[in-house]
Amino acid sequence: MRIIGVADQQRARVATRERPFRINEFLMVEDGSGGILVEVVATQALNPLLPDSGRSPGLIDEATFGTLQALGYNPGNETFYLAEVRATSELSCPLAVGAKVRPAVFAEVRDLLLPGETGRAALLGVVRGTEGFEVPEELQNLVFRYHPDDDTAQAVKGVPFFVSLSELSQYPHIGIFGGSGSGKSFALRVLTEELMRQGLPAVVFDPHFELSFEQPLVMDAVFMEKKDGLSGLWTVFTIGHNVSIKFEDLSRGDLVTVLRSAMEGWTEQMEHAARLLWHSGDSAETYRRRLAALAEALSQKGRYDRALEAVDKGEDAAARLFPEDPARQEEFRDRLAVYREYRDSGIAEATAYAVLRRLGYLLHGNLIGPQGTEVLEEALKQGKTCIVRGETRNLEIFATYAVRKLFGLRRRYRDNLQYGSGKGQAFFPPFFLVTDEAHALAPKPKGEKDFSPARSIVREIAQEGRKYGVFLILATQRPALLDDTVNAQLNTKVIFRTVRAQDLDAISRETDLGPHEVARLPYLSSGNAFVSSAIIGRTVPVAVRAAWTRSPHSENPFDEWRRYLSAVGEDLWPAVRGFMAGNKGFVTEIDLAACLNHCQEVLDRRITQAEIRKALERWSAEGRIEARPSRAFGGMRWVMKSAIEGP
Amino acid sequence: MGVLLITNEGALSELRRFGEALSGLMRPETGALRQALTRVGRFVRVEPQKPGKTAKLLIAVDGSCQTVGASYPYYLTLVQAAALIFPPKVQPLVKHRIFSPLFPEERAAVETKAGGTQPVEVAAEFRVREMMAELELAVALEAALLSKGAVILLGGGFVHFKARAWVLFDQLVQVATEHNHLLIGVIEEVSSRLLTEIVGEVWPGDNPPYDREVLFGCMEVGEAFALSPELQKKAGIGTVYARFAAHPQPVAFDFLTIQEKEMLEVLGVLRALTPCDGRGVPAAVDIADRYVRLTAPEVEQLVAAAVPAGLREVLLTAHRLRRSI
Repeated sequence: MRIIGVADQQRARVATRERPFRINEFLMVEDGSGGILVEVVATQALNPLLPDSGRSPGLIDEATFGTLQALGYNPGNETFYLAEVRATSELSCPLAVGAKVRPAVFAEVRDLLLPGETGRAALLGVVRGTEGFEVPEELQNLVFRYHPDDDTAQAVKGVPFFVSLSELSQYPHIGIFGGSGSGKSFALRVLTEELMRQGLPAVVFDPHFELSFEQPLVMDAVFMEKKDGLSGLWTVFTIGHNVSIKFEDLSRGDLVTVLRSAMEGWTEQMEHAARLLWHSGDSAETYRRRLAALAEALSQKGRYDRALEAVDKGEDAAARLFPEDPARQEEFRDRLAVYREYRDSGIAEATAYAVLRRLGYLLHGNLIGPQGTEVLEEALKQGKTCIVRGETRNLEIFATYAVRKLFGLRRRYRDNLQYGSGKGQAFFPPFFLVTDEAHALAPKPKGEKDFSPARSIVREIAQEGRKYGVFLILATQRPALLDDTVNAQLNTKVIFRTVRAQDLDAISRETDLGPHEVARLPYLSSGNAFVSSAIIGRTVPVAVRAAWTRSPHSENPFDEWRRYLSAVGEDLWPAVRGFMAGNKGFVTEIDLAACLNHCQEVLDRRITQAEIRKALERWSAEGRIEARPSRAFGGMRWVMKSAIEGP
Repeated sequence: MGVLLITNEGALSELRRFGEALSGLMRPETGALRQALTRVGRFVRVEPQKPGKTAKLLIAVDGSCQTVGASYPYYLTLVQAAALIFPPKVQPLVKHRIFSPLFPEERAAVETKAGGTQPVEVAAEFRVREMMAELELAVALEAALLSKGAVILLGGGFVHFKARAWVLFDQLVQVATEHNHLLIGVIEEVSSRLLTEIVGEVWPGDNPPYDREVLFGCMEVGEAFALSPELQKKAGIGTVYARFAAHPQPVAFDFLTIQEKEMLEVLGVLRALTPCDGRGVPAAVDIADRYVRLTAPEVEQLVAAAVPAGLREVLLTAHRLRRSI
């Protein structure tokens, strides 16, 4: 192997006849100064006897080829291999043309590929192209690759790839980009597992309800053990169940944001009404009552106007209207007071009801509730990974609130430590904020109608999180739609298969991926990625490791359907058998209704005739019972096989 | 660029004149030509034949030269010759020589040779060709001594070798006879005039054709034209023309008349070695040619690696290369 052609201080071409180069292979250029480590970024094979010159196809002629072979000369042996290589470090002068090149050994790439300390780093996978290295024992068998076809996982060779989490304080935030099925969600799981393993607090928003860690990926001792190691390190929170937005925490602006997020069609009038009706110290109930009172009063404007006139004249309108009912009198007085306060503020009846509808949505969905984020904060303080689940829109509304609150807690603690007395502010830990579909949380601003409540806080964390120890791990399949400020702050990017031109463009602008790597992006297999990281200072091709655990939804939906079909009505078997036993061992068409009743009684659930019929057909196809045409009544007669008593 | 060329009226009219002048040259009917030619030789069909009984061993020899530098005497020519042996059990035999009038003894020799009757440049060029022929014959000789019963394909006609390095050529002939080798000179560019007289009466006009023109398109694919022994370039050298590929231009093979029988036997193998869609030269010769070929950038890099920069600037860099536009 030698360097040929024209070389510069970064790139060169290496040629050999010995063997093809592997992409991302590491080579050592022996230029007399102790060697320069280079990485193969593109490979080619070339046979000068079979040129692609447009002039002639060369020795493609079978007869000539054969004759040369008969003479013991194989034109195929003339093939030589070219590699485009890139120096792994900055050089001050060009690579020496003609210099000898040899494959690198592990000791030479160790510093480049492994962080100084691997114990506190996140194990993401193996570096591709390092399969040939003899790695020391402590680095072997750390990484497994999952084979979905036979549902197994095998240890893979190569140098493990770690992202040093402690370096995040210098180069914060991680982005994971890739299309559907590219391995993005898998990588998110892997990273979350690593955060757990390190005991680092994290809030994970899980719009897909897929992040739970109680099932091992495969039934293998290693995976079971790893899974067990994670138990107790994570907790699932469900919006409206054990976490919610605490109304008392909201500022006037926050309240407007939350109401606006609840439904489409927010107007200036609504904003005006929502702002005006809010009083400092309001609870959800006081605010709702005020709003409802106003809406009610506005719907009966004449009545309340008259009542006000009467009150102004010194009459007790409430007592007059509800002479027997002091409770209703009180209620009426309240409404009247609200009406008096707001009647001239330009709030229309429809507007008040529209705001009320939105508040109703939030309250009924338990999105606003008394729990707040207390349990979440407590879990974070224990170093747990908090998985927050909820329906997509609610999750977004909640995330806006929760992220602002948690970041505020952390910031106040740090600021107090730094600028204040350091006392009086409760400890709040640094934490990671993890979410999939991040482009929904922090999208690029678009036009005048732009509304993205969470963007500003995500931006703020992107820019200031480092200072406070709050780090983002954002996954998205549309990096081009992610807010630019946020995107620019993701100092480590894990990039999976990406096909859309717009996203490829965004990636090539936002990362140090070269044209060779970008060209490979649409063809990456699932689980293979490029990691472009300021921590490492270069782009590394990585095969992401198999997660230790699996998503409860990882079953193929078609497999699930087939499984359902094969098992549907299986619980009927003992009941139907019982019925047959009491019916001389068979069921005919006219017995079906009786059989159905019997089954409903036994199983205590509603059963349709179609379900029983389907089950009978399946059992007879499986040979568990026998189906014969019934001579007496037409249709079928299903007979129990005495020999086969079923499971 | 194209526009520039078309608007170059002077050049265009001059070239038109050339085209018109030559368009008068008409070829006779192919049938008439073939008939005339059968008087001095015979057309034979050659079927492709696997090497087996004949041509178990093949040696292909070729040379190449490349000049770096300015005008006389400020240049050097690197000459390289190689003998490739098929089956390739040993590495190709390669020899190199440098010719440069900057060597005092070379310069003296060239100037003596020119002797005031011809320009030194021409004498120098002749010397390079001589050197290449010597080198080719030297590697051929070395390869010939290593083996027995091979077919040796030289990259050029026998007359060319005889004229430039007759001592070595005679040695090669001797070794070839002793070691039972079949010696063949492969001529890509047919430039002989053996057939001029024969076709004289059927050829129109008073512009006697070269063999190249006569044989162009005159032969079928897979046909060879063997000249009768009376018609020889030089005593003891026979020639057979062959069209083994789709291209209508035939190539020629020189052989020793004493080896005529073996020569005709080996034609089948030569055809099998010739890509049918190519230019008609056996692949072994092209492989040797490619192996030995020196390109200008390659030689420039070699010179840059071996000759100190100061010397290069003073002696070898053509001033025209320093043009800036």
